[in-house]
Amino acid sequence: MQEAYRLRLEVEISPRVASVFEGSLAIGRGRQVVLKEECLNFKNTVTAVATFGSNLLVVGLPAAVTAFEVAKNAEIFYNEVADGVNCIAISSSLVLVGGNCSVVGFSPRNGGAEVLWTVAGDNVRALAAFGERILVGSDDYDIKLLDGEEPVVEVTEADRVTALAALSEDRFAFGLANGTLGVYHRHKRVWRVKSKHELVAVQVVEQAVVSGWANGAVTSRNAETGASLFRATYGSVAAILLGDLRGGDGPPQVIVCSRDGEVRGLVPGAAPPPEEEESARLEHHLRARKKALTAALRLAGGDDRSAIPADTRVTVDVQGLDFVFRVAKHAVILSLVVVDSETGESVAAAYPSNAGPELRVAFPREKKAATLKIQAHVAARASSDAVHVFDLDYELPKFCAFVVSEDAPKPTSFVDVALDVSLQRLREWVDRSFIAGELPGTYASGDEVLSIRAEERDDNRTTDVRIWGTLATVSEVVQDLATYLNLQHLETTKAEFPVEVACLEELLERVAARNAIRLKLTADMAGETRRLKTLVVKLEDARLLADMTLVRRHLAELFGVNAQLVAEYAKRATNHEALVTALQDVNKMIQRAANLRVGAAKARCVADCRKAIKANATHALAAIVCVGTSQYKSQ
Amino acid sequence: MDLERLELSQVGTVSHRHTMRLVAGKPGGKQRVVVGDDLGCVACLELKRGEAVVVFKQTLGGEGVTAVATGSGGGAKGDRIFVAQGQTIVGLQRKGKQFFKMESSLVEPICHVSVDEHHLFTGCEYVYTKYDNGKDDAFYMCHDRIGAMAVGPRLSGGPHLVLLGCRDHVVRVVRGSDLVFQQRFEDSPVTALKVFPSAMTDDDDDDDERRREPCFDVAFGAESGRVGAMRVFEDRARVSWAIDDDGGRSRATCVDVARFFQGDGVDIVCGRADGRVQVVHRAAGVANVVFQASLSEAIQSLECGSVVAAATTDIVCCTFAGTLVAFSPEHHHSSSSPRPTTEHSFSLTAPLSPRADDSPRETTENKIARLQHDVDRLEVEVETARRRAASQSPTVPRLEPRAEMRLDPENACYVITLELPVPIELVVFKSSVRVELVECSTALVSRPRPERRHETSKQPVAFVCVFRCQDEANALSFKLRTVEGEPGTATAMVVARGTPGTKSAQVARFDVKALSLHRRVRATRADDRPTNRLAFQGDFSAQMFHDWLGACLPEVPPRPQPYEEGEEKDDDAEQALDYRMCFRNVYTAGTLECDYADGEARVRSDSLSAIAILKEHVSKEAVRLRVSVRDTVTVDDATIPHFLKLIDHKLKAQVDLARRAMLLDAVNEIYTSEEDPDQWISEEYAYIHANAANIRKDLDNSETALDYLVGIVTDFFVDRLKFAGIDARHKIPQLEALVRKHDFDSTLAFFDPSLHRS
Repeated sequence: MQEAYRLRLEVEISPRVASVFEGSLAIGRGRQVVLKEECLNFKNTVTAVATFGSNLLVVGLPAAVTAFEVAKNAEIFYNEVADGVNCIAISSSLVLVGGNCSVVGFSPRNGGAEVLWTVAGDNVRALAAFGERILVGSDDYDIKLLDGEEPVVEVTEADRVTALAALSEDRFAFGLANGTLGVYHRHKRVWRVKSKHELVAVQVVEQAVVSGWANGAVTSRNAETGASLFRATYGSVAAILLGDLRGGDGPPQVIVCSRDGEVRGLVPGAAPPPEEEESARLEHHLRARKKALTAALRLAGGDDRSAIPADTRVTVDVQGLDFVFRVAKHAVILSLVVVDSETGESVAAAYPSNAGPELRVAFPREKKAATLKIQAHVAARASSDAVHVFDLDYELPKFCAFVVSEDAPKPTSFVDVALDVSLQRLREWVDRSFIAGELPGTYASGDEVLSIRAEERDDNRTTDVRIWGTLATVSEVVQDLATYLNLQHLETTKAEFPVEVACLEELLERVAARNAIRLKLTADMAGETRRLKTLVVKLEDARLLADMTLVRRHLAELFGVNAQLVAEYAKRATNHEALVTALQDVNKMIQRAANLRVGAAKARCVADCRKAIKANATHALAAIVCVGTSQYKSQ
Repeated sequence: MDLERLELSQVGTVSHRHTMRLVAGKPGGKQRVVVGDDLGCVACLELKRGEAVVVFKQTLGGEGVTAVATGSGGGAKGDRIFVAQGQTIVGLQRKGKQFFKMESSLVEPICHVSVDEHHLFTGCEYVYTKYDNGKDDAFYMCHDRIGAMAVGPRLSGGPHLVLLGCRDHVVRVVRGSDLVFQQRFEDSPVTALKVFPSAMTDDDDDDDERRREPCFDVAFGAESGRVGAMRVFEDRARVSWAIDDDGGRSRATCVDVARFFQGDGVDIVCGRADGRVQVVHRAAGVANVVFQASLSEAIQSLECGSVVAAATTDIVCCTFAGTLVAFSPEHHHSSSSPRPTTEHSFSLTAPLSPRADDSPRETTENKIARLQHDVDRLEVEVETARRRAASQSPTVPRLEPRAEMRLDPENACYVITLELPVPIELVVFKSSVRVELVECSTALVSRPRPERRHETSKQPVAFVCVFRCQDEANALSFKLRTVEGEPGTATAMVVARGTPGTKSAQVARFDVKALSLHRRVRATRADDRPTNRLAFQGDFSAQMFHDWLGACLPEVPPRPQPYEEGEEKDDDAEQALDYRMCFRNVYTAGTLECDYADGEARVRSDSLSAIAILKEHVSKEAVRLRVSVRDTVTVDDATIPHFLKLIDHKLKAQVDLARRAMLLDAVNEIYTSEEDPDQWISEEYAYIHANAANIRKDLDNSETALDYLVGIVTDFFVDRLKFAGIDARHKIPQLEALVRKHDFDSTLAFFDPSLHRS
């Protein structure tokens, strides 16, 4: 790639609030969208900007999304989005809005009707589309590839997902907050690279992945191999867009917008890297290699005083919530570092004063499978200065936080599923997903208890499984089981989550109450604002008449009304916050209920929940959660 | 100035300084490089067509080489090599034949060697000895460790003047066995000395002075990074000029003098502990850094001479990892024969004339091909060696780390530097006393929570930290701030990068003294700050008390130091005692003065905490040694507001920073949503907006700084009330709240003991 043009805008560009609209840039700034020749003003801060088709400007606000035909100065639709608008993506026919735990699709051709709705585990920060396929990235490190509303691929990454771009039906590029960039082909990660800085934007052009980091680095990589094709450093990247700013009918350019307002257009066609530089780098690399090898050769012979028995091995064992590292006799473990190979972060480390052949370390456990890279430092004596280093890998199963506990009280809520597999397969799954797993078995993690029981039917082909626990945990267990058994479809036979259902109903009541308060507060504020306006006019009149007593009285009154308004605002803000949290909780609950199922059953569960909430049929929700389908339709 | 970097060779690790020297080669030809490493191996190399060719290589066996000197040693050619190995000195001829061996009777290793004809000068840890034809000729013992030695010419025919740079900030000038005079350096000890070659002087303009009185010039480098020159006369010395190291205040490990620009001033070349090589050019009274390069490994030796060609002036340095690098103005691959010297004049603006016949491209290709070949060969060799090693019982290669813990008075923290001859993978660091990590810019840092069950009663684990190095760096350096009070130890596990199975690590240990943030100063009496007094009386000797001080304070020499001549004794009403040492806390700027003699000691400090720590330590030691010691404490109430004021501005800065950081987002929102807020926004907010990045950075760096300050104040509070006979530890939360509000008057009022007497 090479730089084709560069222009400087007199606006700071916030990350992700930019789009190419009718051959020029549309940039959100505060409550405005700055276009080539005009500024559009909005009631609230602009959170996202996108372009639908050729002439529709889509603008996201904190609680609404609106589409605007600028040329005709006509609003095509204005839809409230209770979950907020974090990002907007355009699919072949829809405007997709990522908000707080949800993704909503509006159809501009249908006057903005809501035609798609689905949930996510946390705030949705990254959205992309390829035809009818949708990519959703959320703050709980999840990336989902949906076909319409039906999930096709779900993967968990190592940090918040900040950028996504689709390469084809089932291949996509992703970017994370920790600076990772990579490409997936369905469930399989094809490649990834890491940087220290936050990844801000990813775009795909002609099977090359173009990415921009917060430190200003812009790279282009081969989508298949990840090989670097282009590299440059500009100002801190705010967005990378695809479009044509040159007004010709040439190919679209990759447009890199920096935070400081600098905009660059990049076109394919590379200036080859200067050969001189290349050879200098190679020379440097070879020198470093030579130096390292010379040192290694010199160090190949050792010092006999440090010798430890030749067959020394470090073993890892789990006891309760401790990891126990042991070496055979005549050696001690001096220190230990454990790194999660996925996130690259250090999970635990210890450097005890009382070094011995056994070292116990408590691990912070999460409900996440991980490959741990363990490095143990072993010496012949505790006072030795020369130390042997042992590297070992340890696979931490997904439910490592749960420890077998026979006497834990079994929870009342459970789910029943019937699986077309043998008991033996289930045992294999338990072995893989739990530490020292048992079937049937009861596990505890803190106060939380999880219990699993399985019974093979007489035909030896079907196994009935009942899983007790909280909805959150059970749904994760079901998903993990389904992934392991590679199930395309799974329907629950029975589910009972009385606590969660009650909780959901209460949540919905709370949402309704908060909504009512919001309307009331808005009405109140409107009244106050009217008073304010009148007072200002009266004040101005009094001032013109030079009636200082009256001016003073009006001012005092104005002060009072203003104070009231500020107080009202504070109330409104608190209320809004509570509302958002409640909505987020509702979405999470739906997500979990859906996760008790797999495939079409899951998609149906989400759709039915949404319908029930829209129709305000709260009582039906319990049935949907438990049975997975809405019965209220038939009523 | 433009110098080309040339990798010469690679030897074993070099833990000692001054083990690489240049030695005369063939008459009229280039100089050779002689270097000794930690394995006791001495190699002599000559550069031929840009490639180092071994002239001879000898393994002397036994210990590592501690110093190397070159000289005429009886012959007139100056091609003899003198190698110090611990207490032994060996003389080698130009082909490596041993012609001389001498065992010194001293127990200390010889770290500095210099030769002038049949005179041999050696500097050990504390002792300087001169030998004449192998016989003891002169001896002098310094009060503090010798960091640098230089032998001057024989002024007016007398014995040599020898300069010894000592830890106690003094350069002692010795003639024969007698101290002639000493030159004090206020800011930090001198760590490198080099006498100007006879043909060069520091300043050509003041020839008058030289004619009037015999003198010579010496280049020096100091621990604080300062580099300069001084003029030494027969009875005194004067620092002519010096410049500070703006790029990191890194210790100067070696200096040399050269002339890179013809007829125009002199250049002092300096190698530093952080791996930088600098050329300081001084002409017409102005000194400037004209060249800088970084090898990112500690420079252990550095000399200037003609190595690449007979007429060039090159810089040759040897690093800790044993890498020999030359910086040359000559483009080495251009021609094999040296050009006539007449061509060889160049200026700052015009670097050397371009290369000759063969095209640069081809040379580069050749170079790469050769390197590739070397790498391939080495890979095979390493593999063979590994296989051989694997068949034996597992051992760890000898990888002596270079570990250093140095107090940085400017930033009031300790800088810990760990270096290996190979890249570092990670470092696990623990401390038995509380410390605060101030900064580490080059590695990923994680701080696991120390676990109780990993402790022993004598060795608690108060702080654990893992540094994972990102790039292929041989050195890791980070900054720590210690908390005064408890003495302790810190340990670092340094893991070398390597292939699995052959990885190894080394342990480095450091002591943390109870009053670790104190730094020795010459005198503190200048201002009349109020002081608290602590007096001891009992059956102890001055040496015993000196040792007790040495156990709690840094920079204490092994023996008590009497007043120097000319130094003013205390003109206080009290009678002065025999010995005295003064310290200043680099963080709070509190002072501590200790006067002591046999049976009596007086300590004065404006910091009650320092008094309390010292009192506790001395009492503990006295009980341990069964010595009866009585102590009396006199608290001056004026020290309390005084001490609180000392840290008040630091506290204010932290509180302001926290407040500003809180407003950052709000101010930023105003700036993004309003039109041109600069017109009406208050100055403070405008400042916050303009400096947002800095504030964020400061905040990241100062995450725990406020806690640390609060800790100092609460410790001070507890100590103050302890002296009033009150245990006020349960009142700490109340005080903390006051300090965090940054309410000076209420804080001060809270220190009144009458408030807390129940």
